[in-house]
Amino acid sequence: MIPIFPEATWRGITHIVLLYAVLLTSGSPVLAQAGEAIHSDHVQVSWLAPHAFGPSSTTIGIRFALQPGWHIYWKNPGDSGAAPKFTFLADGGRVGELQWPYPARLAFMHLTNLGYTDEVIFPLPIEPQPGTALRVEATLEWLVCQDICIPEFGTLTLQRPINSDGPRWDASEQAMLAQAHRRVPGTAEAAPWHIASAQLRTGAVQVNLVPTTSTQDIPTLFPVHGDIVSPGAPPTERTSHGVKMTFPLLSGRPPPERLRFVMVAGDSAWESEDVLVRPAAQALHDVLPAHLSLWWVLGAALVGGLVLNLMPCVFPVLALKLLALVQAEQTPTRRRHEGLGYTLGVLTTFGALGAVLLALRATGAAFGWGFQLQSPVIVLGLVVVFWLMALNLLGVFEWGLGLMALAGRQRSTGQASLSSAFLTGMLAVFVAAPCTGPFMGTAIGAAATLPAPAAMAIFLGLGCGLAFPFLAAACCPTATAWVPKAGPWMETLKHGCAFPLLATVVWLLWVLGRQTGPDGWLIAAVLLLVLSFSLWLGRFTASALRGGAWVLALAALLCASVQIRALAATPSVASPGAWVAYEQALLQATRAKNQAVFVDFTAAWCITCQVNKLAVLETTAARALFQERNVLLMRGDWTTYDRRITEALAEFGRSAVPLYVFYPADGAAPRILPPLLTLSALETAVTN
Amino acid sequence: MRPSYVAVLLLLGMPAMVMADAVPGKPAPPFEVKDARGHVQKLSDYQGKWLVLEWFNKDCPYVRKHYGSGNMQGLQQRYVTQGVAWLSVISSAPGKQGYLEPAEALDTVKTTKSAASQVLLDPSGTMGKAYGAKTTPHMFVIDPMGTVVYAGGIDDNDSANPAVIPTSKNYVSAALDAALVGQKVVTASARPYGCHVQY
Repeated sequence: MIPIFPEATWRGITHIVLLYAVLLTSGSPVLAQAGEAIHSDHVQVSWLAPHAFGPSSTTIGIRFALQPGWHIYWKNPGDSGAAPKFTFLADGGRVGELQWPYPARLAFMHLTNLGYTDEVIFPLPIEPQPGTALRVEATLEWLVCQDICIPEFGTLTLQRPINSDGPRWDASEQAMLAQAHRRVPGTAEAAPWHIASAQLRTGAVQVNLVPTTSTQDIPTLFPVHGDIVSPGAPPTERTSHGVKMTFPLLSGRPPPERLRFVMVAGDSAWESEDVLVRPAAQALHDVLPAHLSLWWVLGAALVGGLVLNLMPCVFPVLALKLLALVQAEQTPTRRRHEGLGYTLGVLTTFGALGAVLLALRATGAAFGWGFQLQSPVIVLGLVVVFWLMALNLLGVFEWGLGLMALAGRQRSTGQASLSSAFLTGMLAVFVAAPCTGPFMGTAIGAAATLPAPAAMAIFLGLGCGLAFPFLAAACCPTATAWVPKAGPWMETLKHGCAFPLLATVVWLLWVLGRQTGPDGWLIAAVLLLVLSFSLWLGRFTASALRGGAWVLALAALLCASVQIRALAATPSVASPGAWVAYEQALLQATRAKNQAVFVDFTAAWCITCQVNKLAVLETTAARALFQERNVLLMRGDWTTYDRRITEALAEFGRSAVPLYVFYPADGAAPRILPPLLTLSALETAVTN
Repeated sequence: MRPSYVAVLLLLGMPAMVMADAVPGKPAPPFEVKDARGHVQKLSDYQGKWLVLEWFNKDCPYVRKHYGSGNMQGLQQRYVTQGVAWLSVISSAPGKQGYLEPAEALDTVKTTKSAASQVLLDPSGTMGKAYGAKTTPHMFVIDPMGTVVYAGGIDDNDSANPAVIPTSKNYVSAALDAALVGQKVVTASARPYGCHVQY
């Protein structure tokens, strides 16, 4: 044994000789050179080192110059390939850790690799020990690919004296090394974007980034570990606070607990610290499995629609439905027509609302279910409709022969009853369906993320569920039995049913007031006054007065709509007392302080939300519970369009209100409460 | 800035996912591919038998690492004698590296002394994409009921140097040794390495 070379070198040489022999016999070209540089057909590997080392630590470099069209790989090579491997032996010094400049995405069909083209320099810190000479030996293996791949091997040796004065560098080499150093990721503090959170979703990890500077350019993120998430470019979306990227999990891999990324913006890179991956929120009362298949969601939609019939939200149309059921002609066919008309109305409106919602979302706006009531003009329209219906029921005026009877006035033609039932169905969905109940919340949330055909199927499923009891009652022959014969009691019932409709008008006026302020309320009330006046005018037989009545009514409608539209949406005033407006930053800060938070996503037009508020949230018992547990109360008011609240809802897989979320003080996963609150459910969530 | 309401009805059509995947614990994707002898092979033909799928490219240095050293042939021999069906799949497109005509494929089997049961020719890449095969070699182990038991790389060392094979942990033999005696497979998936499949 020649004493100069250590044992390890012999082992290395033996490996290389063996490899050379084996691979040569199988016909693949390989290099097994030793020296200061390695030359192959596609790669030139060389040192970037000073002529002499100084006594203190220096950084040298290993340079790979690649033929155009060929690439080598990063430490996470991506879908295929292999990272270059370096083994160092030093005599007279200590070798630090090799540094990896940031890579680029190299796509091949549907696969993505992460690597380097043209040239890459790997900086390598060296700490010379006291002595006169330093020798470094690097055993390398790398894979260079174009379309085909060639693994190559080689050994680089470097022998330099140690100068007591300091290192002597070649200026150009030093400049190249400095540039390479700039491409090495720095620490995360200096990055222009900060990884705020990472959440586990179905088959993917969603990473949320917030900018720390005024930059608008979206950074590129590369996963450091190759066996967790896909290396391909993730779907990226701007949010109200920054950017979110969804990295698909590699199939078959268990969900990760932590992830690391290298972030690249412009010509600089930063490596993040370990990002904790938070699990998805646990719904306390949702019975559906975490990974929803379409059939499950459709089933949920059907059940949700059925249950919706029992929710407070449908109170406005209960009177109408009752009236329709009772007033229908006694013949079974008429009854069936009513049922069918109602179902058609429900399905058409659900479908139409769903289609419009999908279309609006396609434009990038953050709408959710119930969007129709976020518009003050539409609310104004509904105020007018219900007011007129109430007046009609009270017998204040009669519709003309040409108009359809909205509230199911006794009509001899089946066609009219069909269309009146249709309109009842339409109103039932338009006004009463914006709030969600059990099962419906998840179904709508899923519909927001599924492709259009599946989403429409879910909306129609909801409609079927909602219409089913009415249809069943109308078609069922025994239902006719319990309805007493027609008589003067029907008139009394009709008049009586006007009052729930007037209650709806009062409620809608309140919603309008919340959306546009006291002026909006005034405009709507004046409009109602003018309409009532024109109705009175219309009673007279003189055509001039009748004409005048029409003109007045239409002019007033137009005027009011324009005025309402022009009214700037006053920001929803946070309810007095303990509730603060929902704010992401405040939420994170409070959680960081290990304080519990209760978030109430609500809207003025959501009756279920108001019922929950009165029955549970604003009671003394609930307030005492919150105070005892030191829970911060936040309210997300969705009465008018608010992108941040739509996104906050989307984070829980929802797209509608009400939604109640409790964040425990110990930082565990947030809990979703049922949409119809009870005090005991609240206690269970808050105290466990 | 309040957005304006756009009353346009358009139906979104999400692009259909072309790539599927064989995921441990889920049913294996069905396939119907001609082998080198011209017979059609289907996944259902192997119901009731253990099945190993090995993506192959005769010119890929990583496939050569395992064939040149006799590692792959040894694995094939060991498990075929235990009743496991071993299929080598070539998903290289015509003109790309590793593409073989049926006669060439049979020739390669002879020269490499492969002990695989059949060589499947998938030049359209349909089977490779259905399984999510990314590299050569990429290994899948499927149980007699058609469920994927292992999907991923052949072992844990992605060096092209055959000298590392004796010290590498072979995931395929670990999975088969456990599964054949009814034990749970400890590592059901691992990062596949090699040249990318030449679709």
